[in-house]
Amino acid sequence: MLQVDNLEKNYKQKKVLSDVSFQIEQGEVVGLVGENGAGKSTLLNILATVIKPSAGQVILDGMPYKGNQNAMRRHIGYVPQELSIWEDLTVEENMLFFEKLSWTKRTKEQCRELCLNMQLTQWEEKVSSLSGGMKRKLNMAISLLHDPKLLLLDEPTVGIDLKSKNEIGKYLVDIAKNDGKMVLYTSHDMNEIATFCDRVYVIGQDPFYLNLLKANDVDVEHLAGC
Amino acid sequence: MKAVFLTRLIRLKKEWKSILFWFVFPFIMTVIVMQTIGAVQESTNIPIGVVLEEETELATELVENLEQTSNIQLQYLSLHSALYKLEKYELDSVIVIKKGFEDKLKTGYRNQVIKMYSTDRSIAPFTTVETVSSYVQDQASRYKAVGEIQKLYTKNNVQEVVDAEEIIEKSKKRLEEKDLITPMFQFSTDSYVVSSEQTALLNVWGVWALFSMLATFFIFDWIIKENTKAIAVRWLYTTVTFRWYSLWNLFLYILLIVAANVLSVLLLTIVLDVMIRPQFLFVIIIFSVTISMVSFVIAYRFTKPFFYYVTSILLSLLLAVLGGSFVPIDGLTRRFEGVQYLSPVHALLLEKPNWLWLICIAAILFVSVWRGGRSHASS
Repeated sequence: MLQVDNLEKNYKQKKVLSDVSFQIEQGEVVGLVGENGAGKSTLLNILATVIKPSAGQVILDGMPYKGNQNAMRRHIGYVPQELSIWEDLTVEENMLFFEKLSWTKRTKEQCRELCLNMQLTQWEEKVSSLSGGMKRKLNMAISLLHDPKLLLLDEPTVGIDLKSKNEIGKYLVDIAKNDGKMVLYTSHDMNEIATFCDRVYVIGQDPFYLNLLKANDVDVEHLAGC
Repeated sequence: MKAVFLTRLIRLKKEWKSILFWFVFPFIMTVIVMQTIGAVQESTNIPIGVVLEEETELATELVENLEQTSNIQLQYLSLHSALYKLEKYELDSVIVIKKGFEDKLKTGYRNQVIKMYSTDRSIAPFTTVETVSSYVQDQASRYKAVGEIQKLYTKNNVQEVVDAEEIIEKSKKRLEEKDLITPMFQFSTDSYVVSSEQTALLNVWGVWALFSMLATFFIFDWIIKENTKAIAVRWLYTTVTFRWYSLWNLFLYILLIVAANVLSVLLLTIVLDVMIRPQFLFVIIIFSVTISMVSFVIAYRFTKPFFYYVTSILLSLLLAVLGGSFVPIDGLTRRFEGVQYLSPVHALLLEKPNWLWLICIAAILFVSVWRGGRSHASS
């Protein structure tokens, strides 16, 4: 279980996150929505150990982040919004490169299977020639190489076609339900959020998203935000 | 470590053409530059016709001495062709080594053994005339000395046979040992002396050093490309941090660059017909390691390849100029001793390992990468 208690983040005088508390159970797909600048990416960055919080604590399966950052990273898969892959290499080379440096060893076939599971079939193709949807899938596949318990995705479906969006959403539900992973992801597509997420947290002061999701019978909760 | 090398293999498989290009770049560019300069020099040399009326040992020796004279180009011709070309101003002047040259010199006779033709446009350098006349005088004097010794032996009824060749050889050896050509000057009020340790104008190794530095800088752009803002986040979730990943790769690249540079230097000695001492290879290794570490430290501080490339070009040129790659800085280093430490190239040209640069850059590497390297998790 991921437990977040009274999380705060300040940049000098500016408060970006204030009193954020929530939890995610094993096997859950949780959405995180809010207007631009509400602090979604900051929250994900803290949970991914990219940045440290100003106050509050995060606990993953009973182990606090504070003082255990390096150990925690073995259990976290982070899919950044910006594509974190090498365009000059093929899908295979990207996967094998990061597999060599991963805590979990996989064979070439297992790496390929991971890609196939999310309908990423162009194994030998150069990344630069892939569609946006395929690049997003590869970005996600690399983050799953070390078999993390918690998967954090920062707008993983931005700018891709509906089919790819659907495939990614289904895959996230599949790994949560079958492998017991905790999935937290942000998106601006309310349809997608309503379809694939078990619960949704709304961050920020604007009630727009909260009202919209409530109107669609989505289990939604407001986080204090900023 | 094995994992890091395996990942490097994946990248090298993709980038081998560019890496290979940078490995051969210093060799190719040095050959091109030196050959071009050689060709330009050749075309600007003054053509002098040589007519050999006899091909004796002394005549050949004189011609060999002339060939050592800079800025002239000898053409061996018959008297008729030589004079024809001189009339057409295709030759600057003509030197005729007359029949009986050796015999006359051996008897100590030095007049009219050489004949020189010139025109109203002749600019035959002073050194050529000097070389010819000093050689003739030298040889004539030597044989005259032999004749005098023979006379003394006869006068004093010494039965021992005088070996003329032995006396001549001994005389030449004495001349070399006395090192009359390279005198040492020292002013009574100055504490420094003119050293025989000097660098040449546009040294082969100076040119090679410039291109080798450029190539090394460009090879090390992988540090920037493999730790872009987008990729940097991946290094949080790997068994090795980017710091260790880059340090292991530095080690691997140093091995490759040293091997490529040593091979390049050996090939240059063959292609450009340059002599080196075996110790010079050790100097090349130290230089290659130093420049690799300099490139690493600089690349580590950059985030955009373009600015790194511009800095690399400027820095390579600066180090080459400060090291005396193009114009010797011996005069400057005699006056200001510290100048020689401004660039690792100067020690390379003197064929000495530059320990100071190596130690300093290793210390900077430790401080910048170990302590001040780009961190990932910020507060």
